[in-house]
Amino acid sequence: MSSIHPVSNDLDLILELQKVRYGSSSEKSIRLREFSATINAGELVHIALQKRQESRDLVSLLLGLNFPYEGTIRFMGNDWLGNAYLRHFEMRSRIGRVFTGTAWIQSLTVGENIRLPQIHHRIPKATVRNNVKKWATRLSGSYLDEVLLAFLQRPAYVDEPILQLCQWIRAIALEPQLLILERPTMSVFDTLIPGLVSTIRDIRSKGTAVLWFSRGDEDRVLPIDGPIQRWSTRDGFLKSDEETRKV
Amino acid sequence: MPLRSVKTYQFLTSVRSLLVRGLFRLSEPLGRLFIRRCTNIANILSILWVTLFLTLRPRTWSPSVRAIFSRQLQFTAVDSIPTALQLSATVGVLIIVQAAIWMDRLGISTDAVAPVLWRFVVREAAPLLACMVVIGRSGVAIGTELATMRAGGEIEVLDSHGIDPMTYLVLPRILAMILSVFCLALVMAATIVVTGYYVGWLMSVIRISWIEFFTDIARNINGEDLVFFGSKTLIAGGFAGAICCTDGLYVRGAITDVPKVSSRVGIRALTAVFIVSAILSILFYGKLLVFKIG
Repeated sequence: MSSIHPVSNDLDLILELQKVRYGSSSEKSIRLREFSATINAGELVHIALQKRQESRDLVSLLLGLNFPYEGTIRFMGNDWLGNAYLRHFEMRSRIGRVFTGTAWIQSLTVGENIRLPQIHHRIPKATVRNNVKKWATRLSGSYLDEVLLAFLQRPAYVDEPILQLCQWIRAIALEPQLLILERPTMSVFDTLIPGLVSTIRDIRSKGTAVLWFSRGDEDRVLPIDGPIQRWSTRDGFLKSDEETRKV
Repeated sequence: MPLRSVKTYQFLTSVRSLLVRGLFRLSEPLGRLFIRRCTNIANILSILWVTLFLTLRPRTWSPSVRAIFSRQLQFTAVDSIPTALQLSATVGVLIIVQAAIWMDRLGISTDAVAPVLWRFVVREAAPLLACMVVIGRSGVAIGTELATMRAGGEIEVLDSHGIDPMTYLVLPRILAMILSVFCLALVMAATIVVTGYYVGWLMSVIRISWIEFFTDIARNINGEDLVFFGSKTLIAGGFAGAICCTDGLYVRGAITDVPKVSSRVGIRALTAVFIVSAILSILFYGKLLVFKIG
């Protein structure tokens, strides 16, 4: 039985940040000063990174891998504090992530990498196989053969665009409550963009919240429909939609 | 007071103050070294304790952990069997030649070689040799692999997916090392005894039939041997596994630090195995070399 129980009465609330203060001295890192915001089920938040800024630190903070200096971060009503490691690992199993930088366990094949989170969290093998097959077919388009071949190879031997596609498959096959996309269009084939957009629309309609990082002109703009919250960074500090509007 | 005595007194005083100052200066690095050693031992013991706790919890054994465990056991135990056989056959020959020479010199009948050979092999040689094979073949590989994963950010990938690195990476490797040392030590003990007998028989050092030889050994097996063998293989294997994993995971900085870990991990694990083995011998025999303790 799941040990994650929504604490808040608001079942739509996926991620909540309350007066969070965080940040390193590195100019690559996004800093937070008394930052408060919420992401509800089905919402999409777009965070525009400035040049040389990286999302890794902030995402680690949202996943409870780093801790804020002040304030609270809650995922589905549960915080990341204390020694309830089992609960924290279970909470993270409900978050899908497309990484920038290192994204793979190099000693496993791409297929094993994709199946690992689901199998580790005891989803039956047949379900995992079907899930992965379903999303691979939907997202890969005409590149399905290349993707299926990549499943049998180690990440080091697979081309970057196919690997990025495999990252999408892994993140979405988890059926996450929160999908974190860190510069997800990097090296993705142009012909696959409409499929990715429609996938985002579908999973949002089923209640998945999406947090999408992109960096200025370097990343393609996805023609996402529906309401979008836009968070931005100013002087290295993160500003929510409301704060941005006030500024 | 005569002048000479004053000078002697002054000389002694200055020597004493130099010694005191030297001791004070030495005490800081010594204290730091002592604290670091204690912290290391505490880390290893806590890793072993958590491993034991997680092993006994059925929830730990997810299909992915079982897969990693069986893969590690295959690599550490099964694939090491040829190396273990070669090494133990060579050691068997060396032991039997030495035993024959010394028994001849001491005027003891060479027929008494069986119990001596058995005790030495089961209590000391086989567990140590098995540890050496496992550390040399797998321990260094484990340390290097974990250090590479850490430096390359792969641990964060696991963490992000809700996979506990302790459960997925450390536990199966430590358990596989413990079991491998135990099983390989059994194989090596048997090989040493069999090779020892046949080489001794060919050299006419052992003049009894193999049935008599092995019956003699079987008669000499007792509970103490099993306690020795079990504790030396399981505890030493656990320490070796924990050191290889912690050294790998505590790497700081970039991928260029990984070779340092590779060169350090084997030596540290082997040193720990010899120390653990010596401490267990002292505890079991109640003796330190020839001095009785307690």
